[in-house]
This record gives sequence, C-alpha cells and structure tokens, in this order.
Amino acid sequence: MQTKSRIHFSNMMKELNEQILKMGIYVEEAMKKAVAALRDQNIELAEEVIKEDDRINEFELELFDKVSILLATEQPVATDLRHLTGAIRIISDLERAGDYAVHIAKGAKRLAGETYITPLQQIPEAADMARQMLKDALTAFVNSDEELAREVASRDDVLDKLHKKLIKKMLKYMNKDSEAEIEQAANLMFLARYLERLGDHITNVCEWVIYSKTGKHPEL
Amino acid sequence: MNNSKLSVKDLDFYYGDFKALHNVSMEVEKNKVTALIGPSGCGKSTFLKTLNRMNDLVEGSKVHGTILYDGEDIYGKYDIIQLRKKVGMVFQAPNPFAMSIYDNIAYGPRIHGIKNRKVLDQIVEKSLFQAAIWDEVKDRLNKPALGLSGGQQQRLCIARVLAVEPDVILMDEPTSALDPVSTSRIEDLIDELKKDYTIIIVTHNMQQAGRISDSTAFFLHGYLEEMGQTETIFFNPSSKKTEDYISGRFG
Repeated sequence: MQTKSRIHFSNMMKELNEQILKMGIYVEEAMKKAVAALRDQNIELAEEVIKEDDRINEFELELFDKVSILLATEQPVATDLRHLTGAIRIISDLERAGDYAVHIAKGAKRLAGETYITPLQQIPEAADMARQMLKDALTAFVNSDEELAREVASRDDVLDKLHKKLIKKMLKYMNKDSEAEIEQAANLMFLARYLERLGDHITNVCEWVIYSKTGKHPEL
Repeated sequence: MNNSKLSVKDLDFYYGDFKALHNVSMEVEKNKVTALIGPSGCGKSTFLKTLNRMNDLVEGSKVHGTILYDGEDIYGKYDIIQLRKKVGMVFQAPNPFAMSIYDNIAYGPRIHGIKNRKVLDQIVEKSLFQAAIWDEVKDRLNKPALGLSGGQQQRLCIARVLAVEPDVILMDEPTSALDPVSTSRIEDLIDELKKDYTIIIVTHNMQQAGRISDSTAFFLHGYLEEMGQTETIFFNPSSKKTEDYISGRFG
C-alpha cells in the first residue's frame, strides 16, 4: 500500500509554490499597471508601480531565505532538490521582471506630458501577451508541467516579432526633423525592449521548469 | 516563559564521580518538538532521562539544580509514578511486551486501575488510532505484538505511551532501528502528535532533527552548547562548534 509520507515537507513545498505564484501575481499586476500608466499617461499609477516594487524585492529575499531553510532542514534530493534550486532562479527572474515594470513606469512618467506620435499598439499588446506567458510559466512550475513550459517558451517568438515590428515603425520617426519625435520614438523603443527582455526571463523560467522535472538543461 | 512545559535550571548530573551534565538550563516549549543532538557521550540521553527521573534507577546517580514540570519541581515532592505517567518515554529499539497487541496497550491503564472492558476497548482503539497504526492492526488485536514489523512495533510502543494519557513524550532515538519508510511514518506521526503533546526527541540523525523539530538543542561534552529555533540552528547557528557538528565536520 502506497502511503503518503513526509507530510510536513510536502506542505512546506506547497506553501512555497503558492508564494511563488503570489509573487508572480504582484509582478504581473505591476506590469499591467505600468503599461496602463504609459498608455493613459497616468503619472499616479506609474508612481504606484515604482513604490510597490519594494514589495516584490522583499518577496525575493523572503523566498530566497525560505528555500535556503528548506534546503538546510529538509535535505531534499532529486526532483525536490531541483525544484528548490529552480525556485531560487525563478524568484530572481521574477524580481528582474518587476524591475522592468518599474522602468516602464518611469518611462510613462517621462512621456506623460507629451502627445504620442502614434497610438500605442504593440507595447500594450506585447505586455498582455507577456503577462499571460508569465502566469502560464509559473503554473507550469508548480505543476511540473513540461509540456506547458515548452509551449509558453515558444510564444516568445511572437513577442520578439511584435518587438521588431515596433522598432521598424519607430525607425520611420528617426528620419524626421523633429527632435521631440525622435526622442519619443527612442524612448518607446527602449520601453518595448524591456518587454522583449521580460519574454527572455519568462523563457528562463520555462527552462527551470523543465530542469526541475527532468534534470536536464534545455535550450528553449 | 508562559509557554514553557519544562523549565530546567542549572542542572548538574553525576554518574558516581563522573559529571555527565554541566549547568544545563533549558526551557521546553509546550506543543513543540524539541530535538536534542550531539555526538555520542555528549549527555543528550542522560538529559532526556532526567526529565522523567529514569536516571533514578542508575545507582550512584546524583542531580543538582531544578526541573520544573508545569511549574512544579519534579525532584521535590512530586509523585514519581504520576510523573512517569505524565512524561512518557519511547525507546530506541521497539520493545513491545510478549503479549497481544491489545494487552500491550491496555497494560498501562490496567496498572493505573482501569478494569472496565469497555473503557479499555476505547483506550486501545483511541491510542492505536492516534499512533497511526489502528487500520493495520484492528483485525488482529489479539495476535502477538512481536509479530508486527519493526516500524509497526515502534508505533505500537508510541500507542502504549499514549494509552496512559501523558502530556510530554520523551523519545530516545525512536527511528534509529527503522527503515526509511517506517522512519518517515514516525516523523509524520510526531508532527501530528505535537498538536496534543510536548515532544522531546534525542536523535543521532541531524537531518531528522532538521525535518521534525521546532527547537534544537546541541549538547557537547555534557554542556548545552547552543539551543534555538531549528531553522536558526541549521541555517545560521551562533556557535562555531554547532556549525561544525551539523555540517558533519566532527562528531
């Protein structure tokens, strides 16, 4: 008869997973607000994102300690061990993702007084997509779902394409005479770049999901 | 400390001329698991046995200092039978009596004067259930306890302790004779039992201390070298000696 054992440890792992999901929600929310602040030129909302990043940074340290203590007191091996070492990398990717939201929020503040040279289209679209990817990547982590991890990572190509499309569009403004337009186009290119980088971090998360499941380092 | 179940102050213990414990002070928190770790001969088992006066049985032993159990000095006027009922003990090797499973559990309550069969039935069932072995033995309560596996025998011994309604359970390396699966079952059981009891466990297995205890006390050469929250002891101990021991550098 197979009996359930190491109940305490299983509960701790479950709790850790829940907290990683929670940290993910904070990051996702920050990204959502940052892009909304940019789109609506809402300085207050942008400032909120900047302020709330402290919580995400604290989260990283709390979870880092939690994982370290689990390693010290529970001596996990095999899949459990990889899940925890993977978790350390994932929380650091999440913290970085939070920083990108802050960069976008700061950009939103800079651009709040300007009239956009073109309606923002690719940036909100890319942000929506990245947020969904982030959510799915973390779901894949807590469920050790290799298939989902691979599928999420494959969406990064679409994100890259959106990024390229925006760069192309912005380059057109670079040819113009108006310094203000050139500056804004450059700003928007930078902001889009953060979303593209976010996609790369989500891909990293997916790689750690597969590592924790299989013990192999995939190149996604 | 209000949550203190046992409060040990300046405890010295001698086996004849040999001083086995030096000036040990410790608060044992209620409904927590406290692990005692340390190399062989460090005094952890001796200390455990002072808590229900098992060491009284050793000729030439001597105790200085005080141990308060719920505020009362157990080396004062405390009734020793009552003390051992309240502070039960589980030993290293499972030691069921050569009698039926039922009689093993009913033994203690019978000694304490319970004769009513119905009451005994209830105690046996409740104790075996609490010790997470009821389902495995309920259909063979009249079979010899020695026919059980090692892991089952140890859970039976835990049930035997529970049958006299203790308050504190002392465990002296309760899983060292068991395989990993049985060990894991006992560890889960300890985690469950601490809701109702205060548990103090001596273990040579540091990993086990890390997994199951709330507080850890590290003994060395008869001294309590360091005691603290298990998380702290295993993650960032204050004493270099504690660190060396838990990292397997000596001991």
